[in-house]
Amino acid sequence: MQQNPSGALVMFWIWMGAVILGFLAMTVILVSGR
Amino acid sequence: MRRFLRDNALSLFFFALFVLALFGQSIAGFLRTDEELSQHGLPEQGYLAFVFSSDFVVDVAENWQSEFLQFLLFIAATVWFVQRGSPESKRPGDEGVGTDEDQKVGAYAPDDAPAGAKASGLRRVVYENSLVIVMGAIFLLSWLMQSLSGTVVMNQENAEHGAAPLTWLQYVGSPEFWDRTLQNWQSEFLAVGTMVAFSIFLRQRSSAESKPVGAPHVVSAESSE
Repeated sequence: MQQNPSGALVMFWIWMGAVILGFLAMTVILVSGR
Repeated sequence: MRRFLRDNALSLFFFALFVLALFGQSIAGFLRTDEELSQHGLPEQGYLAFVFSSDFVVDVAENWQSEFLQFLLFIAATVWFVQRGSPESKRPGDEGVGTDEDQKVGAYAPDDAPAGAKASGLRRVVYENSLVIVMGAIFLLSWLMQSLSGTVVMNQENAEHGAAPLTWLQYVGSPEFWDRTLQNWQSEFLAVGTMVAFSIFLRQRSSAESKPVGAPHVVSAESSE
């Protein structure tokens, strides 16, 4: 079975979350036409 | 907790820097925009109004796209091109995608390999290229965001000067869009190129990005192992 280093999945999703959140915010700003 | 901090110090260090720099950018951009507004005799806007504006989005997105393009190209180009002596490069002769045995995929995947490496067909092709796919998707999305928010900003300025608004396609063909884009690209390519070439001869003791201090100039990190 594969193993993940401790906390690595947390870090992966912190970074992926930051990018996704960034794009979501940009989309909301663009759609609202500000 | 202490173990978590130690095991993830590198990602956490850069995350803290990212958050601080983005916050700093938002403050500086807010102050700059307010100066411009008052110079034009327009009412000042609040901090949150600036952060939720295309002015801020275009500045963030244009830097995002260039950074992700840089890593996308670095990851993809090092598959096919080598630089003899650079720790960023594979050994000369190892160019290309390698054999399944080298890459430990399919029948050669060890028990503890990721599921994507053990899979076959499309699923494995996707996993084999997942880093390039994700970095490439973020690059393209950021570049799209830059172009869309850049159009909004340019049309706000055009409206202030009584000029006709541009369509998105017109903006994508405009000098403004390519000036913003290429001024970021040139610096990324300069930084990657110097990193590849300087790391042949220069060292940082004990950095993962450097060869060992005593490694000969002619060997890459991989061949010195």
